Amino acid sequence: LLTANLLLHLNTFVPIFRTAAKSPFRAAGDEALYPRKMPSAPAHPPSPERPQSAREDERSSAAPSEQGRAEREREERSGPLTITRVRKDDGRSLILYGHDETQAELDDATAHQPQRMPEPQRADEPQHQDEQA
Amino acid sequence: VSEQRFNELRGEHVVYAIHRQDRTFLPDRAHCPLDPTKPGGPPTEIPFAAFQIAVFDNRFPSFEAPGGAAEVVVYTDEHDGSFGTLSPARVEALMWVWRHRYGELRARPDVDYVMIFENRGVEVGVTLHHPHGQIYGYPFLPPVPTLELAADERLGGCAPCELLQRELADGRRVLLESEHVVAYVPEAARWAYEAHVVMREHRASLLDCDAHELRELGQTLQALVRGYDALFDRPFPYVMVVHQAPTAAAPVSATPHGHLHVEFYPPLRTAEKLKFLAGSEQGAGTFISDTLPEETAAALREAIARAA
Repeated sequence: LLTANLLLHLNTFVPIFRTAAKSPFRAAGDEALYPRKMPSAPAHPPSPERPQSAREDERSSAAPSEQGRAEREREERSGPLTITRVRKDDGRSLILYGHDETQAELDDATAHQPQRMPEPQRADEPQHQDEQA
Repeated sequence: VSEQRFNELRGEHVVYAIHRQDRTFLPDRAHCPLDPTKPGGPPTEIPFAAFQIAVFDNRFPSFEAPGGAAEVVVYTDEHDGSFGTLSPARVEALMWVWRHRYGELRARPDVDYVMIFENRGVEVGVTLHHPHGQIYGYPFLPPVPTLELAADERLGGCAPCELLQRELADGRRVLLESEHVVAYVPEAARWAYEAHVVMREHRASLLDCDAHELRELGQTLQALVRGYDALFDRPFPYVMVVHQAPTAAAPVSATPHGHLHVEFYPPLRTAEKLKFLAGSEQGAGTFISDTLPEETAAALREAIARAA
């Protein structure tokens, strides 16, 4: 089992060991296109739970080395969401969506609409919509 | 660098994305690529220590620009759980994320159809257990939405609107109702516990929904998924697909319909038995079902009540 796990791990995260033969998924310069590389280091996210001002402070003070090789592009909003776009070090897009869940939970407690589940009813029975509530 | 070929006999595209053969397959918990990246830990797809919802370009894409899109939607930074265990606020936020992604992808000239979906369970081929879904931006109109447009033509209007009214009038297969959303097992369900979650009003896409509708959509989806899990008292595998209007710049139909609804295709027909697509389903395209939708709807209704 240990050997199997090791092989699985190698197969999953060390693809260079697997693609010794010439792969059709290689760009000019023999750089592998697939699987793409993982980012190299963790970074600190703009946590949506924290106040906006704190996130702005963090943005202004964070050094590139703290952000790994993922490059934050810009922040925007859509409805209740805060949107942070990041360019991963292999060029792929990463979007972090934040949501004020504390406020949403409060809204949910006041605006929740109970859902009506009708009772099972045979085809030959007349339907009584009020009784299904 | 996937390749598309057109199957003339069936009149449909086939996509060859052979690099996906090497995609991450059921990694152990310590190496989940959808976890946040922990200091000192292995690299993951989200190089941050915490997040709420993350969307990124698939590392093993079936489509990619300028020939479509393939995105991964990670519902939470917590490895354990499912759509059914998310907080109501997170589910609501996810509806907004879906809406945002549909809006952005539909603006792309290389995307003709946006499909948001979730595969849950190894029974339907899941390779990562972390709660997540996917989004495909097809560079062509696939067969299923084409069939839906044909149904609009055949019924002389919006087919989901018409079918919803039929289900409400019948009532036997209705699972859940709220002000804006209805869930039911369709009269001609192909899967034993297939369910459709449909907007009452005609809404072509998530972009046409207001905040209240999005909230109710999320609530209904989650109530249904929790009911699924209660049905056999086990994590219930399914394929969940959001159906919306095509996004092709050119008209794809004389009647430009499209009605936001979510379809679930669960492969289980009993607690232990799977429905396989065999001779009739594959060779003739005709599903043979062992169950009646009225009976599975009744069982599912009871399970939803138990889970509530």
